[in-house]
Amino acid sequence: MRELWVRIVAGITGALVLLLALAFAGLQSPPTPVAAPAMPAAALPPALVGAGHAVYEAQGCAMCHAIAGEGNPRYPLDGVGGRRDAAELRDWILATGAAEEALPARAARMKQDYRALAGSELDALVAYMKSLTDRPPGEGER
Amino acid sequence: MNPPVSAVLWVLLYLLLVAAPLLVLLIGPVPPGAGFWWDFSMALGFAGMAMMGVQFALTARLRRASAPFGIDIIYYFHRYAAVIALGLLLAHFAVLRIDYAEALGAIDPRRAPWHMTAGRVALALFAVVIITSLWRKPLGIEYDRWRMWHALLATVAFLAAAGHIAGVGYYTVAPWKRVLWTAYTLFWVLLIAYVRLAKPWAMRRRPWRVAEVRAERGNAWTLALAPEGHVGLAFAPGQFAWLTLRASPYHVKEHPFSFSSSAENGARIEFTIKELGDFTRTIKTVQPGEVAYLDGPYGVFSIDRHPHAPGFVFIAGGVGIAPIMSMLRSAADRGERRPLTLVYANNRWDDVIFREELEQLRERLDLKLVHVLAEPPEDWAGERGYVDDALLARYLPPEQRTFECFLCGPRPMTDAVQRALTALGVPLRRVHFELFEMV
Ligand code: HEC
Repeated sequence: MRELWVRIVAGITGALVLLLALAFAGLQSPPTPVAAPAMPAAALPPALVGAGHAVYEAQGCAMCHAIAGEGNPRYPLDGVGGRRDAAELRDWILATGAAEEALPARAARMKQDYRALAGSELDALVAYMKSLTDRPPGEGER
Repeated sequence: MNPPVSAVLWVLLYLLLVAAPLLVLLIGPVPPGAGFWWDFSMALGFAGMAMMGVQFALTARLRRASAPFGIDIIYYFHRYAAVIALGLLLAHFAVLRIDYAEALGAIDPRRAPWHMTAGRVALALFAVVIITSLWRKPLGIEYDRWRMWHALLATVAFLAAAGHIAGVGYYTVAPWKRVLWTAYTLFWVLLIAYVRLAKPWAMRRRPWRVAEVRAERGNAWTLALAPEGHVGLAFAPGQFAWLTLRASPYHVKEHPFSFSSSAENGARIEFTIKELGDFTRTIKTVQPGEVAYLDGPYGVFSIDRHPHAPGFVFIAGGVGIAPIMSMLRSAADRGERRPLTLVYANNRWDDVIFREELEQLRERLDLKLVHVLAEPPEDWAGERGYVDDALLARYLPPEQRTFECFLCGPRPMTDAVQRALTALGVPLRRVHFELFEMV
């Protein structure tokens, strides 16, 4: 008898918690992608962009960022090449300049580590960011 | 407050504590969403953590919270809740692993950020804690050692998970949310401190002395304790306490045992303990004068919870007689007049604990005494075999099936007797037993 009650209360708890989790996920609005002003992609050497992609993967930027739906959807980078110039990108990657203030303290701290990257790696990374001019995939369908 | 009402209130409080972090997430400035599955996964993580936190409260043996339910059932619930909570945490991880694998970053702790490693460590530790608890016996883990590691690993896992959340930091950036979350974590840590430090400290201030160690039939020993410098303890017959012998209360080397003495004498209390495991085998070596500590009383397995019952039926197997003996002795001391039936199952006649005293109790109580032996002597005229519905039908006339029934014995026996009683038409709510394995 009492065992039955335990199962009921445990079941209710599990269901309640799942329901709240679903409610939370449902209430959160889907990401509102920043409208990317159409800007012609600068002529970027494909080798440099490829190297930048490798740095992006090696540094684990995807833990906080998503590109084309891959990675942490919280801060998508799709289209970032269209809305920021090279100097701004550098600031956002390294948490320098205006970005240092704008970034959450913890993210800024992590980004400061990237200041140890070699100059060539950083250049490649910026080129890769510049190449991201596409709007997020599936935009408009959501 | 009457028990059902306070039981409902405690359940509601439990649900509130579990839901609190999610409710806090829902109200206030919610950070922009990042897609349904992502947000769902985050919520699952918080929910699992909240349930894990309350796990510490469930086993803190808060007497007021456990009184309406019986603490055995709370431990039982603790097991279920742990499995559910681990399920939530695994789901939190699984959704990310499937949908957002890149966001998890490197597994290698040398390359992964510390807070991600903390999350993985927490998940693994929680799994270890639960596996070693559900399968402690098959894994051959000794009880005292298990208890120590269980508390330690659970605490480390919880702190690692709290660190993981703080490290990710997304939901806790708002200062007031950070304060709330820190307070929530701190609350459980304080609770651990209460259980591990404040409670043992209080126990130390109320020591007991061993007054006597007496051999009983069937490899059982009765341990009599007298209070040292305090008035003793008031308990209801059928209840139990956690006993610490030859160790400081801070070591938490305690074992639960039912009182077997009359509740009318709180100044000399007795436990009757059968030699079954490492700890119980040492009882016979205990000397009068040794110090003991008690945490109790606990439990709802008592005739005192049913003052209006027309009568009582007790069904005991072996040393399961201990709490029932306490109820019978108390009943005799109180001049109880209601009809009582004891069905008492043992293997051999020589091993029947309290055989002689039960005979004497029949003179002071309206007690029908039925011995059942699995291996009876040749000249045995009484019941033989096991307690089944045919046997119960013979001794429980229909009008007695409204009595409150108390079962105590090995689990296979209480399960079988429960089914037999149901078959006889005894409603389940009249059948009482502890869900503890006495260790
Ligand atoms: C700890 C998490 C974290 C990591 C790791 C991280 N970032 Fe960021 N990044 C952020 C946050 C937070 C922002 C601010 C986003 C916002 O406010 O929309 C940001 C902003 C940016 C921006 C500007 C985005 C925009 O929409 O203007 C770029 C570009 C960027 N990061 C590149 C990178 C690259 C490249 C890496 C890897 C080398 C990286 N980030 C690693 C957290 C992180």
